[in-house]
Amino acid sequence: MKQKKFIILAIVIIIIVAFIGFSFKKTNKNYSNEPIKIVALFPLTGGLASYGEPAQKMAQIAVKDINDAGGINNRKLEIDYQDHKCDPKEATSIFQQALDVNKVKIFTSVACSGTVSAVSPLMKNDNALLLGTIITANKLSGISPYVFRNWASDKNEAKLFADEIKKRGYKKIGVIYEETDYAKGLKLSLEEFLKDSGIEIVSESFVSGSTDVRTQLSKIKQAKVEMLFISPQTVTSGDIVLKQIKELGLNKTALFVNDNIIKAKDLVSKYADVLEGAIGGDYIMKRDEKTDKILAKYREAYGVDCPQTNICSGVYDAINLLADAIKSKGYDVAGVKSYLESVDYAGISGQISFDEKHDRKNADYSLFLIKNGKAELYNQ
Amino acid sequence: MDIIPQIIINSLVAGAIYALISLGFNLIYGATKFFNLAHGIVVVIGGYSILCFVKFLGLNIYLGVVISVIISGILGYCLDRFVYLPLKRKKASNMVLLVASLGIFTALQGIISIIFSSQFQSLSENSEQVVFSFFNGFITETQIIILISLVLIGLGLILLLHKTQFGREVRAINDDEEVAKIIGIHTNKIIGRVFFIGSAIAGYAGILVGYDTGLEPTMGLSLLLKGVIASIIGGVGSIYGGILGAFLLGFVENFGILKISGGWKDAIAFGLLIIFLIFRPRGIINK
Repeated sequence: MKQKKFIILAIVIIIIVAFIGFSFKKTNKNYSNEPIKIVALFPLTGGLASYGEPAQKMAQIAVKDINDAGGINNRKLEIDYQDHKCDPKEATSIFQQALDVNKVKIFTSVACSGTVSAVSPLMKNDNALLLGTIITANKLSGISPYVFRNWASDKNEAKLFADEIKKRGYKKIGVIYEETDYAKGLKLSLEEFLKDSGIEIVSESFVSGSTDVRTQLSKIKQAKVEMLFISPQTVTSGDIVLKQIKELGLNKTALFVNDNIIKAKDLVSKYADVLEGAIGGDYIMKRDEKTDKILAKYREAYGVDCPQTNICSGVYDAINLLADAIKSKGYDVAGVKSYLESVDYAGISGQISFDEKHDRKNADYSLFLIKNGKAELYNQ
Repeated sequence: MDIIPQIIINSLVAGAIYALISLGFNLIYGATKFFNLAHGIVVVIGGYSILCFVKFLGLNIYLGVVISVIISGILGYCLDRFVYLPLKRKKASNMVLLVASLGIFTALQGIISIIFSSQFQSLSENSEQVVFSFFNGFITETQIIILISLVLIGLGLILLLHKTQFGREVRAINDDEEVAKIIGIHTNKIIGRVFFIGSAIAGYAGILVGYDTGLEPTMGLSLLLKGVIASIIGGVGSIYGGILGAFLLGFVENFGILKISGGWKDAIAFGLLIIFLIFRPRGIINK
């Protein structure tokens, strides 16, 4: 009996020792030469894949540049690209998995404010940090102490629209928007800026995935608005709305479009007749020799120019910023956070620093005019 | 009100699309008594077949439509032959068949995404559409084709079911498959043909939707749901019920958002479904 007890005790001790040894080995991994991992939440498929694809390609160039220059404290940088499909549910599931299972703490993302809005409550007690590019919804300003955005709030875009609307003397305007944080956020900001102007706003919405917005457009047409602002979340829904605007003969109304349409060069050229004279807004980053040098690497690597130079520049800087932060403070959320809060970084997209709400400082939008199927800067 | 003719046109077009989907769905449900969720992906495959043949391979549009419709029909037939029939032979319940059809839906949707990407695809090369003005409302050439197609397919199906031996056999299976077997009807063969016809109609609906709005691999689910709602409120398994339910759904959806925001459109559709499920679960045509 005693011998049996002894054997059981010995087995338990062996298991405990093995467990401790395994844990020790695992802990040691953090100090080994294993690559430092960042998860990139990009829209690689879906309605904004046209942003995700160049973003991923540019991120690969950034990683190569960082690793060729010696990596992060002699460790390679590795990015795990994940497709959030512009879907908050998908983003949450990927984020949770990366956080809990793969123990990733540093994230970067591209596009779809709703995805960042969905994952931000999961970041607490220094467990994770996200630096996003082209996430624009106004509600993301200060949404979490762990969310930074290398972009401007689109409230600035709405302000420019509101000023232009007042200048043109419109008395009644229409808005058709998608029910998402970004697209609806723009409409809410526009309403806020036009609140006391006496301008009547006729708003209509549609849910993501809708393929028929004809009744909403018919109501706007019936209201005899002088201008229609189109705010889709994705290029796909922008295509559907513009097609149906044309079918219903609403293209004779003056149009304002959000930055997603301005960025979608194919869409602007496809609906050149509908969009002729339309006003749009977008955030343009600085471009100089340094920017051109990096963009040339994109052309060299992939045989084409980056179709979204703002996104490419922004993503390149975001990856380099995170790499610098980890190099300086270690793979530690609190350290990276304090680094970003005080950074003044000379990136290829201009000087980067963040305000108290973690939005990129000095990031101004500009108005664009669509002429002959192309968007050009609007000189008011 | 100036807007009414346009809303009526919008409702008719939406109703016609739902009706085309519910026609095939009801035809198959009538014969098999299970919810074939794979019907939604057959719609998508019809749309992507035409994209492949006409836009990528440059085939004549009429030939492309015929080939795409046949492909959709064959797909439906194969699903019955190689998935549902073996399951039925193993005495699988309708729930098992439903789950299998959901699996087929998901798998084929994934395959379409891999082959064609998840991107939205437009069947027309440019934004040009022939638009007609009708009582102060606008209707496109594609939408007129949708309405005419529904009338022709609906009439054709009614004639097929009521004036042919095949139709009588289908109706006998609808009433009671076991009794149909006893009186000598080769039920499996007839059900296979029903799958072919129902799926061919679904594929044709996918082509029309592709030309009307565009294509996405994920569009099947929302179209299927609207087709199923139309079937349930009209009377599941009934051809007339499906058409009636589809137009009721189209009109309620479009007139329902006349005074409230369009974001409520889907909520109205599902609200209508719930009302019918509570107060008239067997639909308008109480089969």
